[in-house]
Amino acid sequence: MILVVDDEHAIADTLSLILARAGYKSTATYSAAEALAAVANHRPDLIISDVMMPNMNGVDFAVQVCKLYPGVEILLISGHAGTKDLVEAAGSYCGHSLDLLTKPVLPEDMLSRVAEILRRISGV
Amino acid sequence: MKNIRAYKQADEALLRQAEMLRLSFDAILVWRPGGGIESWNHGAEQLYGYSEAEALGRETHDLLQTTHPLPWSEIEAKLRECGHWEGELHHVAKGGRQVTVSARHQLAVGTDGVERILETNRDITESRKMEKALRESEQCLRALVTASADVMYRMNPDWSEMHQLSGGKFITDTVTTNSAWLQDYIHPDDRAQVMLVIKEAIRTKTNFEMEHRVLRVDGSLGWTFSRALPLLDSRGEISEWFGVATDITARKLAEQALFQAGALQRAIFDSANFSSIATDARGTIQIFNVGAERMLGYTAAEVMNKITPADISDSDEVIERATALSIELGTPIKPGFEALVFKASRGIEDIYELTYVRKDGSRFPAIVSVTALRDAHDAIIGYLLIGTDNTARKQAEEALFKAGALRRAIFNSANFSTIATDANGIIQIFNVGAERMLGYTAAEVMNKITPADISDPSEVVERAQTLSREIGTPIKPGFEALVFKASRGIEDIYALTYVRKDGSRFPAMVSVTALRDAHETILGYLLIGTDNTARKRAEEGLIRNEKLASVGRMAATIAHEINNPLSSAINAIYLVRTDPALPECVNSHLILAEQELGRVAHITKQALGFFREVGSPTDVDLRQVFDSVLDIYAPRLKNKDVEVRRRYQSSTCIHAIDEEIRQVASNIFANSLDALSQGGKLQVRLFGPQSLRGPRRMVRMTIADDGEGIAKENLKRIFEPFFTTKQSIGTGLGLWATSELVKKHEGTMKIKSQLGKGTVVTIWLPLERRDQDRRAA
Repeated sequence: MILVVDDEHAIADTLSLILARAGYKSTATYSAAEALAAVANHRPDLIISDVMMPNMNGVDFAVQVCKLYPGVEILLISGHAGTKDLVEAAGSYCGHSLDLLTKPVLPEDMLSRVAEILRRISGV
Repeated sequence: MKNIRAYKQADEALLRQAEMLRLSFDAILVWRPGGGIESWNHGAEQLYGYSEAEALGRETHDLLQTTHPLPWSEIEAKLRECGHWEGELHHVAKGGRQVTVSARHQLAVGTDGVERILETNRDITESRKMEKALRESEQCLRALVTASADVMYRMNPDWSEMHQLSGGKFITDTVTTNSAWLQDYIHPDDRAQVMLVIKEAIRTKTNFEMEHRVLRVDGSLGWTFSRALPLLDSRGEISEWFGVATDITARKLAEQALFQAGALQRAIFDSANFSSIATDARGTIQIFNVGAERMLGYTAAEVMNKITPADISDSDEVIERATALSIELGTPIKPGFEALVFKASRGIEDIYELTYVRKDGSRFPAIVSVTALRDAHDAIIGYLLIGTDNTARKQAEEALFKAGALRRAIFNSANFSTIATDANGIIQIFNVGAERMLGYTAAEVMNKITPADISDPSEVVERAQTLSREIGTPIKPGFEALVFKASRGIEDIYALTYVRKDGSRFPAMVSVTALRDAHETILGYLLIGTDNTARKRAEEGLIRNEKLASVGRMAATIAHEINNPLSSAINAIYLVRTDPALPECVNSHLILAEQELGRVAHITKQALGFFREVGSPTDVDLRQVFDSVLDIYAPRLKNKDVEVRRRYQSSTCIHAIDEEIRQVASNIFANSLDALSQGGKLQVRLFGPQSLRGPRRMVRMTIADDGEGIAKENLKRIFEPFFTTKQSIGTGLGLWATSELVKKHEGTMKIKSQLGKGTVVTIWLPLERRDQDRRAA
């Protein structure tokens, strides 16, 4: 199952639909807090999260998830140059690197990255 | 008979005398030993309160309850021997009042052969009381002086003789009168000055006060603060000088050492923002500056020469420090002043956190820097403890540690410059990463400056202006401009150029967060920066000056704002296009829409400055690229009556990203078209591989037009983003993006132009990319 987090409802909803269209089970959430609750309930295989979100940003959220639910993969989507270093730092804190795509993400690019990640975790 | 007459005369004389003295102020009474009072004058009435009638006939010692200093028998013996006795008596007057008199007893034998005593008493009750009080207060004063002063001395009125000096262990005592005191005690260089001050004190009958050098018991030089008070007699003349002096050698040496220290330390010492405490070698406080008074609540007088800094430090911390040092250095260190200065005593400048305890018992955290003060022979004469109030920093740290785990990880990382400030922007934390990137040590900036002081000033000004416009409130160009958004609860990330200690600059991406307490009050700000040099280097040449930096930022901001709606649109169209129920006729339009949106996405990524490999390099035939682009422009070229001349050499195939080379060609053709508003010629030439510099083979292309040309003053700026002369139709991004793309392909681009004559654009592109070269080699 894939969990999508983005404070922009339109992005979260369309991403979730695209994933569903591609055959994945997917849920859209609109804040890190909401997503954390969803992670607790559904234990997704992968979380696709925006970085710039109010209250708790995606990087902090990713760190929280890494701590609470090791093994859940995270793909971050950022529209900002500076976040690359942040994501790297967060990755080193989590113990494994976090995946990152830069905005705007073309659906094909996202789907191929998702497939790659899911292959990686199932292949291990 | 003669004898009788003589007696009579004596009697008369005595009575006359008594009568005369009846009116005297002294109490005069005549009485018979073992018998009653026979005469009681007005003075006695006044002094004792008994009237003559009450007193006459009474036994005097009974009436006045006399206390004699000696047994009466001894006084009587003296009277018989010498005829008189003088001494002090205590009487009790009517009503119980205690009276002290200076008494004179005179024994006379009258004509009747009866012994009578003429007693003259002068009331000295008040003066005795005063004397007693004086004695007591003098004792007090002496006790006080002995406790607080090292030296006590007495001088004659004109200071020609010293009557007494008790010098403690400081200077040698004088027991007998000493006329050579100036030579004995005062340092030769100070003698003239001391005498000058003394003369003035004598003239004005005011206190003598002076700091001067003295010769100590051991012959060494010492410093003293000496003060003498003139004691005035009843006529107002000086009867004696009473002086005290304090050993201030340690303080003076500390001061001297301090003044030999750098200007910075002196500045700090004079500052009320630093607590500066100088001690002697044993730790006794000698100097306690205004900052220390303010922070700690003690006055200098309350602590100087009394306590050590350990006495105003958290005792648990002192013990802890002693324990830690004992372990670290393998030698037992006592928990006390020694623990505070041990490292400094070993010549190590020591900076650490210490909690001071204020006079009122409250505590405050300080960062203390400890230095040993040394004399010319390098012997330690004291210590200097400079402290800054660490409260704001502590709060910032606490807030920081309440923040996410990530922040803490970043804080400990040398790859991020983490700067925490108090609410006013004064730097409180300056982590190892900040030290590394900016070249300052934490101590150099903490409590001194704000991040705005180490930021590019023109960027700060610009930021303030932009914010002022954006928000409609004037924002001052300073720290406020850096944190304004964060202070409004908006997490803010932006590019900022920091200025290193050596004056060089480096670009950083800075994330700003407000640190808040439990009540949401802002305690300070956290600025986390990453070194953006690598990225900036890729943009070198683009961002040539500060104005450009901000314009580039604006482009990034716009692109960033476009990203979210763009993402939604791309996703929505994708969803529609992949809908199985979609009619075929709609599909081609959707594909077009998707492609166009893809281009927008591409542009925003470019503008954001972190364009990543989207397409991969392929073999690109430049002829084909030029032709296909010119085809696109064909209608417009024709419209404007532009004649195109192409001259292509063979083998103009390069390894590059097709899409980007196409963009380069397209941008330049578009510019030429704009310049050829009145028609004209456009020459497009391609030259085969040649070596420009070193072994790399380059392909050259020129695009020349005989259009309007570019004015000289504009030529310098044409690669700036948003620079345009085409007010209504230009975006000012064309040439900027073109030059960026050329640079990305490791090529160079030059533009020659003359107003009214035309423009020639020359581009060199390598035949193969460097990584390809390496792979080939």
